[in-house]
Amino acid sequence: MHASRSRNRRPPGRPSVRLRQIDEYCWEIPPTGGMRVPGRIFANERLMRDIEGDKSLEQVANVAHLPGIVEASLAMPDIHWGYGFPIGGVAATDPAAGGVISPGGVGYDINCGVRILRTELRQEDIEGRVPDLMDALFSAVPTGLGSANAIEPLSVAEMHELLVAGAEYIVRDLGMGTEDDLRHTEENGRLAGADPDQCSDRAIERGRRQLGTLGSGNHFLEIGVVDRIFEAGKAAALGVDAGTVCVLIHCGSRGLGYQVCDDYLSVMNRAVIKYGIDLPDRQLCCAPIESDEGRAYLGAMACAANYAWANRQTITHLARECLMEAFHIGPRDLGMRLIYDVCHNVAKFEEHEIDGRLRTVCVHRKGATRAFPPGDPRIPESLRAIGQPVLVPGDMGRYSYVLTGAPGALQRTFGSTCHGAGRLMSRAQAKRESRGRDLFAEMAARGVTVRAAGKRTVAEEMPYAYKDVADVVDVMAGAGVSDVVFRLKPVGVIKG
Amino acid sequence: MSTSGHREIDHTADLGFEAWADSLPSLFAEVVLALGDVCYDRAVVRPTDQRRLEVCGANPEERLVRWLQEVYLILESELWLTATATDVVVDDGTIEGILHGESFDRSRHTLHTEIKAITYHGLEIVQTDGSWRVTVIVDV
Repeated sequence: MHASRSRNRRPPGRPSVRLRQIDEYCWEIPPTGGMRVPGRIFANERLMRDIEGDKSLEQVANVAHLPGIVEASLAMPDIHWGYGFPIGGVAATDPAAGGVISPGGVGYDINCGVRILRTELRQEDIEGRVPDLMDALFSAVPTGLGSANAIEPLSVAEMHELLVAGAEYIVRDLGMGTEDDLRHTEENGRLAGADPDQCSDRAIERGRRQLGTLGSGNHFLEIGVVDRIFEAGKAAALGVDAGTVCVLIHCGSRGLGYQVCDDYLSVMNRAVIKYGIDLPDRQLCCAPIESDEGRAYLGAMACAANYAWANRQTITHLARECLMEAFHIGPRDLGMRLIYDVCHNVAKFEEHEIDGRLRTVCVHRKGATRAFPPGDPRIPESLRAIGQPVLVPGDMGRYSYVLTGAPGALQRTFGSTCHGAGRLMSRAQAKRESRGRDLFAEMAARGVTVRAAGKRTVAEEMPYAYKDVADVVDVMAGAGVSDVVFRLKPVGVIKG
Repeated sequence: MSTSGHREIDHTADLGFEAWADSLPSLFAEVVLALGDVCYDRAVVRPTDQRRLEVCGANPEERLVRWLQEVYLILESELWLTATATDVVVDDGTIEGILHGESFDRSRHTLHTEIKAITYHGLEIVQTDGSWRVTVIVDV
């Protein structure tokens, strides 16, 4: 048992947020004012000190004001300041109790997410070849500002089909990928309720030419080697052991998703007035789930989520082709199988036990990942014995982790876990830090080959700009939310 | 001496800039330069072509966001880079102006970063003593 401690933190110039530590890995913001539920933050002492450096705790408290929110406004240990909602935030709202849907609780990059694929390749197979492989991947997968035309642009009619079918469209209609890929994608790569008529023409137009592109910022395609195993049985079930070469992909719904978010922030700003919703921050703008505005956003959001899965599936296909060509091998010998694909920016309807009874709630995860425990019927049969896997990428120089959901997730976080390391430095600060340094050579000295469209992006994404993802992952394991299965060391990265 | 300018500001996860000018039209021209500096090396972009742009919005902040959204969409969809903006006219409800720039040329131009959105975070156009100022946070 850990002693309960109360303290009032009042850093200069900021309103105070009252915090109470409830166990080693969890702090609570008791409800005050218009908060309908408490705020709850998963962290450790060290991470907590960083978290208090920005306004994300106030944002956790602000989210607790949303109509229909149940249990608590939650924050994962990689929480940082976001638009309205903190990044690393989880909030469930009950449609039957006037619960709302908020685009700010999903984010601009709808269904930004990650996938990890294992291969039959071993560390020794790629030794001395990584720079060539990264060159090949870099030319196959367009990255950076304005990246487009990885594949033939889609017509508007084809876009409508894709927005409903998601990754299924890429696999079944375009022949890029396998049925096994779909089984190992959250929601099988196809979120129900997609309604292309709720997407603006501009959103669809932006999406036509961007399939199979990475974008920029923190998005990446990475080759990593498994360097530590924490649970050998689970790692074996996922098809990896020490030395296995894996491919990691992080990106989202590109311009289409950004446009949907932009379009619906305007709609929701009006909806807040129409429905008389009182909010402490207008960036939390929202509408009741059971309203025309709420349903329209959910229909468009599902389209963007499906586009993102289609995008990651297309990139997967491009990477597979690239590796088969580089090693002169076929699909069977490459054995590039999807371990799992998860979104970390989405709102989904899920059944959760709240106050002793099952309720269907709308779980907003913004910079947080679904991770259900072993035995959960919502995860594919092949993975049910070990729990749903989740890739948690670290910075591009250190390591990334694969976790699986643990029983604590359903009790404490609506089946959610962390999504990454979280930034330590602002982008401007990271750029200042990089002046006069040869960042590509520094990364090469760490054993990581970097190819990037924009050099400035590399400066902003250097390892020193990020927290150590190991701290973040430790908290989720300590809190009983996730189990740590294995760790990967990056050897090659392409960025936008 | 010019009284307008802009600079990048710190923000944990995103990027931001502050711009100032001696009139509202000049401020709208200045934010275009600031956005360009976020996305590419604007210094080497030649103002050889022109584009006319017009947006409307319910209030000055909404007009500013839409103005920058349009400038960005031209960049994203056509890889057309803006060097400067001139002839900006701010009317009740609308803004129009002329962008000067050219198409992306790999041999001469450097692109920096894509942006996800021009946000309304802390967005407020402030007028003090004949000077107009705005801070814009872009989601990257």
